[in-house]
This record gives sequence, C-alpha cells and structure tokens, in this order.
Amino acid sequence: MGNLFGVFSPYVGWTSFGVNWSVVFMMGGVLPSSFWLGGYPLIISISELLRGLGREFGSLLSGFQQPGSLLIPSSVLLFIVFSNLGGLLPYVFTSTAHLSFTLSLALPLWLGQILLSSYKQPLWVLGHLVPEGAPMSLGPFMVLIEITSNLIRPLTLAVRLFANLTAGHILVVLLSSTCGGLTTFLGLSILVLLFVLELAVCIIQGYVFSTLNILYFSESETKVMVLK
Amino acid sequence: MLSRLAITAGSRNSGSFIWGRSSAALSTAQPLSNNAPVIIQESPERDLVNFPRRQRPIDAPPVRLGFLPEEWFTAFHAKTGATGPYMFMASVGTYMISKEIYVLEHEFYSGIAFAGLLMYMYKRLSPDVGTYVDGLVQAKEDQLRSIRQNEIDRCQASITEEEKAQWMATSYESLIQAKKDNVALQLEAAYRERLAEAYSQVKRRLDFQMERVNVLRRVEQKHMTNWIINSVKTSITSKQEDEALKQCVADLKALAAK
Repeated sequence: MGNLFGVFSPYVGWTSFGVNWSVVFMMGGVLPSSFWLGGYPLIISISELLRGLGREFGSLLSGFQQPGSLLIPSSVLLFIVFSNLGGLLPYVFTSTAHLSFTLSLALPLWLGQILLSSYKQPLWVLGHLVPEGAPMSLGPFMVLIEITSNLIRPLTLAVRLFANLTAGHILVVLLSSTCGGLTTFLGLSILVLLFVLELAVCIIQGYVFSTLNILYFSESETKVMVLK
Repeated sequence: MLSRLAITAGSRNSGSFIWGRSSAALSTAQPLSNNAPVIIQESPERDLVNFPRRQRPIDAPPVRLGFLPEEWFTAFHAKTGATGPYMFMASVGTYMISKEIYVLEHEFYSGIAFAGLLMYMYKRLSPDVGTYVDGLVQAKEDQLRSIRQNEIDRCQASITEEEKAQWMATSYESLIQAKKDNVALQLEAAYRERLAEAYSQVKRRLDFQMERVNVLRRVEQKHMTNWIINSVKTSITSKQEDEALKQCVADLKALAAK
C-alpha cells in the first residue's frame, strides 16, 4: 500500500525535506521566451490560447469586466494545466495531486472575494443569501443552505482537482504495475487509452477550476462595487 | 535598462561601440528622453567574419529521434562513425538496465505508453496544427510588416498626390496663357474692327469728294454743252436752216429712189 502512494511522496529517498516540490517552479521553463520581435509558433499558440480564454471568461463575467480581471483566472488555468500535464510524464511529481497545494490555490482566491464583497457591500451579500424567487417561508433554511454552499466552495474546488488527479495517477500506477510480465501488451494498450482520458482530465480540471473562480467572482461583484 | 542607456548613448558617438568607450564618455551620455531612432553603427574593430550577427531561423533545427540535435551526432562521426551515438545509447541503456541502476518499474511502462500516445498524436495532428500555427505566425508577421508597409504606402500616396498637385498647378500657366491669348485675340479683333471702320469712314469721305468732283465736272460739261448748243443754235441763220432742210429732203428722196 505504501508503494501505491509512493508516486505522491514529495520526499526523495531518506531525505526529510520535500525536494519534489521544486517542480512547482517548472512553469518558469515551460513558457517560452523570445529574442525576436514576432513569429514564434509556440508563443503565438499560447497567446492565441489566452485570447480564446479571454473571450470565454469575458462572456462569463458579463459586463463587470474590469481591466486585469482575467489575469488571475488565465494564469491559474495555465499553471494548473501545465502542472497536471507535467505530472503525466514519468518520474515527474504532480504538485496538484496534493490537497495542501490545491487548497493553497483555492482558499486565497475564494477568501479574497468573500472578504472584499463583505467589506464593500455587506447588505448585498446578506441579501443574496436568499436567492431570488425563493418562497419566504423557506427563507431561514435557504440562508443556512446558501451559507453552507458558500463556505464549502474552496473545499470543493480543491478536492475536485486533487481527487481527479490522484485517482487518475493511482489508476495509471496500478495498470502500469501489471506490465513487465505476460500482460505487458494488454496493460500498455489500456494504459494508452487511460492516458487519453488523463490528458483530457488534466485540461478540463484546470478549465473547471478557473471557470468556477470566474463565476464566483462575477457573483460577488456588482456595479456598486465597480463604481467604488 | 542600463545596457539600453549605454547602447543609446554609444550610438551617438559614431564609430565606437559600448566596449570601446570610457566611463567618462558614458557619464556624459544624453538622457533617454531623446526620441531619435537608435542606429547601431558598427565599430571597425568588430569581427563579423568569425562572430557574425545572429540571423533569425525560420525552420526548427534538424533533430534525430524527435528531440536530439543533429550536431550531437555529426560531431562524433569522425571518431565513432555514423552509428557511434546510437551504439553509445544502446550500450549505456543496456548497462543501466542489466545492473539495475535503472529499474524497469511502473513509471517506465507508463512512460512507454505516454510516449506512444504522444508520437501518435504528433503524427496525426501535427500537419493540421502546424498549418494553423503557421497561419497565425504569418498573420503576426504580416501585421508587423504592415506597419512599415502602410507608412511606405502612405508616403507613396502623398508623393503621388504632390506630383499631381504640381501637375495641376502647371495647368494654371496654360490657363493664364490661354486667357492672355484670348484677350489678345479680342484686342486684335477690336483693332481690326476699328481699322475697318476707319477705312470705311475715310473711303466714304474720299468717295464724297470724288463724287463732288465728278458732279462738278458733269455739271460743267453739261453747262458747257448746253452753252455750246445754245451758241450754235443762236448762230444758225434762217437761210442756213432752209438750205439744210432742202438738202435733207433731197437726200431722203435719193434714198427713197434706191
């Protein structure tokens, strides 16, 4: 059992400090640098990707788009996607498969929105604890449910990402452990299909994380806050 | 920032690059508020033969096995031949696996599966993705080139406009000349008209004088003939008249007898 989760261990050998966490700084080497003015395929691909993301996220923000409001979600998406994709490579530590890491991403983003909206427009926040159109007889219960759903958001964000990646990696480890004997070819075939799924999961999980962030941000923002 | 300041300061001292300038000259450099374009002037000491300027590569450098640079293989051709690097990789790999320095465990097999998947995706998707990205790159380059080209076109259009304006301005000379000619024609016509008028007036007067002279002569002639006739008539006696009449009658009878 210890070997199964050995993939997720940040410690190398008998060391007691997590050297594997340095893969977080891998992002510095993933994004390309440019010497010439224009015409880099990789840079242009990434800029086109970011432009498409900007259109997607901009439609989600629906009118409350302040300059720079898409920087955090776009960078979070790129960070998560590249960390996930890097974790698919052999011998590379997956930093997003740890709850401590994903919670460190989700909690500040959520907490910042909650604190800012509570400070700027507390009555609006309290008023939106009862959704529009709900019958007032269910008011108290709706308030409790809304508070719970608000408070659980960082946990859901973090656990969704962490659980998806951990489950995927465990499946990969289990399947690839069967290889090396008579079932090598069968295992490799299923592994290829599993990796297709894992690629999709890596990209989708990053997209879901940042899209939910944008949605929570657009929910907590109003014109009053923008004008202030 | 400092290097840029030094380069822009160095470009203002012609013939010397940053390396050849003293710190005293650097301290007297002009501030960056000057918007003049930076023109890099080559120092005569620069060796462009052994250290040429970097050219922008269009295609990716050649690789073997998808990720190893070609130079790593060709560098060993003289020593080990063409199969040298491959033999090296095979022998090192065999050594590490047989000595269990590199253990074939689950990461290895997942790496094989992932590598296979990546190779399949590359073979399948790279033409389309490459074409699309090349289109993006070309669009970016065209957008950058269009900045310069639009400026050139704008200048060309302004040159053409200026030439056209100059050509149109020259037409005013011919227009003015035509107007001058028109006025001259009108003056000539007026002069000729007046000349003709003067001629006719003079001729009229001369004709009047001529007619007066003719009338006078005619009157004199008539008066003279009348006077002569009257004189003759008064000088004719009755005797001469009778003789004349008798002669006439005799002539008439002679004529009638013929």
